[in-house]
This record gives sequence, structure tokens and C-alpha cells, in this order.
Amino acid sequence: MPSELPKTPDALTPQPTLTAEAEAMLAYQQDSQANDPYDPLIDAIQKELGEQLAPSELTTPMAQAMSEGLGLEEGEVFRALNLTKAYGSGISYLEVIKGISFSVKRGEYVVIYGPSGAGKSTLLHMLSGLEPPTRGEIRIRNHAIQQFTDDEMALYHREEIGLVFQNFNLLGSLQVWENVAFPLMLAGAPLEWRRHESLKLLDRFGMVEFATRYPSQLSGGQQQRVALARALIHDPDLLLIDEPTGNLDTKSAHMVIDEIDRLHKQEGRTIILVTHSQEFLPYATRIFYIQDGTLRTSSEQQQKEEVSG
Amino acid sequence: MARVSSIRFSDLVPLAWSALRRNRLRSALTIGAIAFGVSVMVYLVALGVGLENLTVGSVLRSSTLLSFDVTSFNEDIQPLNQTALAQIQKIPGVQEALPRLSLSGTVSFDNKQAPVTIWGVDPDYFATNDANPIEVGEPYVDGENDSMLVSTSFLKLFGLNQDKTPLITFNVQLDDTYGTIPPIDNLSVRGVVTDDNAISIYMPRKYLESIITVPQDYQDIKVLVNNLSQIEPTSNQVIADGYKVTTVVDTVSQIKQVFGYIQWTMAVLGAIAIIVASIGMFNTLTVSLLERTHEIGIMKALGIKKGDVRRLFLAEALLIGILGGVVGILAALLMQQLTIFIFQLLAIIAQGTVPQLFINYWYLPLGALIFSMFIAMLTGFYPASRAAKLNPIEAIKHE
Repeated sequence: MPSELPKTPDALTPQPTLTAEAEAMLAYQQDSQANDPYDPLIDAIQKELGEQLAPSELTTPMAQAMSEGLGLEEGEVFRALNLTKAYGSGISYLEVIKGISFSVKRGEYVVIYGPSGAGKSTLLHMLSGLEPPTRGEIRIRNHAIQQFTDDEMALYHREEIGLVFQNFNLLGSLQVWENVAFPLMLAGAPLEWRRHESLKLLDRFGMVEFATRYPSQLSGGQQQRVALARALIHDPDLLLIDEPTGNLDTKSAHMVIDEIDRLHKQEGRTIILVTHSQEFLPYATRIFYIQDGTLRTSSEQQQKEEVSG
Repeated sequence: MARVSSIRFSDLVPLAWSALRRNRLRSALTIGAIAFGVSVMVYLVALGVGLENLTVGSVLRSSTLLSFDVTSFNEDIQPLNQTALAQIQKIPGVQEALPRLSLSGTVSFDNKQAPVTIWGVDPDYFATNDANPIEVGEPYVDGENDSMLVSTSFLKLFGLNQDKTPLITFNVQLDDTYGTIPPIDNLSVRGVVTDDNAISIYMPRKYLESIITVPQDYQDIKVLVNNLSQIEPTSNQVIADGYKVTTVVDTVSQIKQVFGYIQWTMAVLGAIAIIVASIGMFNTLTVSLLERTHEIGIMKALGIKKGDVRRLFLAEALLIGILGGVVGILAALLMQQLTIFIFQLLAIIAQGTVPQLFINYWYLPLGALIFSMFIAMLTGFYPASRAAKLNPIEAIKHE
């Protein structure tokens, strides 16, 4: 063997060896950076103090949820996180929903109550996946709905939620039973099954005799009951109801209010209902008051009323 | 994730149909426009095919398929003379070679004189389909040198009647370009050939060749073969020998080519009509989309897939295309019958017969239907994708 080997740069300048402490710190940094986004401010403070800070205390609901690994709690079916909806940009920028967070547990009857223009419908549209939020997240059974593909969104509408609108939104060219069975048709169910299921539901709503009528031949209250039946045809976990009595006379309105109450009490459905009508409040298990795009708890609302009253 | 199920085809079609029924007048007009285009296409192309068939048929009737005509490309280099005839007769497959000698001369009768074309043809020539038919009498036989056949216009020129001709004799003087030839006297008329265009007489070729002192090239030689399969090798051999060949098959293919162009022109006319109609259909689908925006919004809220919205609109477009196609084909057939009926009325007045004017090959209406379906799909594509991309909330709010 030759006596003189060509010396490599490594051999000339020995590698600095890390202390066990430094190694642990590096590992911690890498780990924490993998979990949390890099924050230059925290980094600067750390350098100033010369020591590693403990993970920041998380304050916002969004951040809290993130720290919890986004898991939903026991019995929780639905969660909105820091939900924001804004239109326009620059001078015309307008936030209609301003960072709303709440969660709904199985079997709850949540009424979101507020004046016209408070953002109730926009909120419900976001919850139903029909309108994407500008920021924030909506999770149903631990799935973020804004990340749904087209097919997943179709499934969400077909299987997870039942939607009821203020103006019924029945299809005028279809008979009542066909309207009720329509979600099943979209899912490719066979005709006989659709008819059977739809008549069964119509019977429950006392509407079976109107099955072959067209929506235009029904009263408002009847139409809304058909719309309720349609929302229930696929037996959804969650009913999202938008101002169901807005277009109804008092008698029909009470019929619909009772119907929704029955769906909650007898069938144990989870309901989120937005309304400007106080008539629903006595039935709700939880009330949110919405004003100018922010949610207040029911107690806050009561206090407010007491003050103003 | 499992594949998300779609609307059944059996539901898609009634849905599209109910959309069409909603504005019946507009749908009917749209379908009518497509039908008009399809009917124009089918009617014209069937007419083109019918006329082609008539023309080809008349060509085939007028000549036999088992023959071809030989001419010379250049009389000076490759003259069509007796040597050439002998050469052609030797070609295997040639059953008979019938040359035509064309001479000119003067015919005199009863102090009247007229220049005529004198055809020197063999007796068998009259049996070919190309020859003008013999109206009265019969062909001469070889060696019968004192008789001739005359054309009907020849008789008219001399103011003669077909019944009296056998009793009359003529004197024929060939032109002096063929040498110094004494007049042929006392030629009797053996028969009359139907030809109202040319003042001509027919005499035995071999006799004429024997009396002229300046040899003449033939006008053409008709070659007969035994069966169709021999046409090609035989005619190829003649061509190889340096002559020009015209077969009926050539003529037919030329006619077919010309009619092919005509049919394409007619098809293009129909296609233009369909495309113009498709602009109306585009409008219909776009308006239909606007009218149904609200409904599409509801469907989206109830969980229709984007692809299904697209399919729904394409189904509607396709339905217009199919209905327009079927109605158009039926209308074209009806128009054809109407045309035939009018021609039949005219034929009764003119005491004629009506030929088969239209031929509808099965692939013609089928092609028109497929074309109209294709155009419909193409037209429906843009409104369909627009419908699929609609924002559900804006769509629901749309009234």
C-alpha cells in the first residue's frame, strides 16, 4: 500500500460534532416546523432569548381545532370553523360572514336567528356546500366539505344533508311524487323503488292524495311539506332549513313548524334552521343570534333584549 | 371513493323530453329546421343517385359490355388499316373485329344528287348494340355487292317512302380521292337504318375495299370478346400494340365520377341547410338553459353531478337531432313520392313513362340521421358545459 494517501478535505477539516442537547433541539425544531407553519417572529424571539419557546398557546377557534388535530368530538356531526364570506375587493370589499365558528351535535335542533340581511342564508348556503367560504372550514363527520370533489359534493347533497328552501324550489314540470323522489333519481335508483319510497314519505306527511298533482296545484304549506319530504327521501343525517315559513300564511306556517319539531323530537333528526321568525325559538335546543355576519350566543341575545327592553 | 352513480338513461331521456315539451312551438320550429336540412339532403342525393342510375342504364342498354372500340392515337404513326385489323384479330380472346370504313361520295337517283357518307361495314356489324337499328329489311350478306342499307334521313332527303324503297335503285359515285373509280350503278336498297341525323348508306366493307385504289384507314374497329373477363386482358393487349381503346366500362366510370361530384354537391347543400338549422338549435338550447337555470340550481342542490347536467343537455340536443333527422327523412320520402306523382300526371298528358327518379340506398337516410345527430351533439356541447358550470346559488336565485 502507498504510504501517502491523497487527503480528502474531510480528513483535513474534521466535521463539527453536535452535542446531544443541540441535536435534540434541532430535532424539536424540525418536528415543530413540520407541524406548524414557520413563523419568523417566533424564530426571532427564540434567537433573542437564546432558548426554545414552548408551543404557542392557541387562542382562535380555528387554531384550537388545528391543535386538536381537527378531530370532531364525540357525538359531534358538524363543525364550522372561522367561517368567513366576503364579496368584492379593495374599496368594495364586504364581509358578509365574519369568522363564525360553531359545532352541532347529533340530535340537536339549532336555530340561527337574526334579522334580514344578517347573512343567515349565506351561512346556510356555505354549510350546504352550495357556496364556498372565502376563509375557514366546514367539517361534516371529519371531512372538510370545501375540499370535496364534484362527485363527493354530489354525494354530500344526496346522502348527508337534506335541504329545505324558503321558496320550496320544487320542479314545476314534475309531479309531486316525482319531486319527492328526485334525489333518488339523481342517484340512479330504479323507478319502482323511487315511487315506493316517495309515496311512503308523502303518506307520512299526509300528502299522498296529492302525489300526482303538480306543485303549482298545491298551496304554499303543502308545497313546503313536499319540500320537507324531498329533503328526507334519502334519510339524511342533517337537515339544513332556510326560512321555511317565510312564504307561508300563519296556519300553514304552524303546520310546518310542528312538522319540523316532530322530525326533531320523534325522528331524532339533527336540524340547523335559519330564520328571522321567533316562532321557532321555543323548539330549538340551541339558539344562535346572527347579526352583521357574527354569531352571538342565545344568552347574549337575551341580555341585549333585556337592555333594550 | 366509490364511483358516484349517475342518472339512469331511462330517466335522462324523459327528463330531456319534458324539457322539449315545455316550449312546444320553439322545439317544433327547431326540430323543423333540422328536418328541413335533412330532407333537402336526402331528397337531392336520392335524386342524384336516381339520375346517375338512369344515365348509366341507358349507356349500358345502348352498347354491349362485351365489346370495346379501337381507334388510333395518330393516323400517321399507327394507322388503323388492314394490317392493324389482322394484328388485332390475332390477339387471343378476340372473337370478332368489326372495322368501319368511312368514305364519302355522291348518290344519284332520278336526276337528284346528294353527297352522302358511305359506311363500309361487315354484315355482323348490324348485330352489335352500337349500330343503329334496322327499321325495315335486313342486312346484306358478304359478297352481295349490289345492295345497300340507307338511313332514314337519306330517304327523307330523296322524298321517298320506306315501303317503296325496294323497287328503287341508286347510282353511287365515290369521291376521286379514293382513285379513279367507275360509278356503282343500280344499287338496290336492302333495308333502312334508323338514323335521323346523318345522310348515310351502308355497303359491304370488303367490296368497297376491293374497288378503291387508294387504301383508306378505318374509322374505328369494334372488338367483340366472349366474356366480360376477357375485356381487360384483350383491351390491354390492344393498348400495348399502340392503339386507343374505349370500353363501356370506362364510360360508365366516367359518368359515375361526374354524378359522384353532383351527389357530393347535393349532400353539401343539405349539410349547409342542417348547419344553418343548427344555429337555430344553438339558440334554442341557450334560451332553454336560461329558462332552466333556476331548475338546474335546484338539481345541483339536490346532488346532481356536473357530468349529469351535461348529459341532460346533450340528451336534449341529441333528441332534437334524432327527431329532426327522422322527420326530415320521412319528409324527403314524401316529397319524392309527390315529385313522382307530378311526373306521372305529366307523363299521362305527354303519353310517356316515368323513369325511376329517386334511389334511396339504405345508407343515405342513415348517414343523414347520423350527420344530424352529430351536428346536434356539436351544437349542444357549449350550452351543456355552461349548464354544468353554473353556480348553484346564483342559479337558484335566477327566476
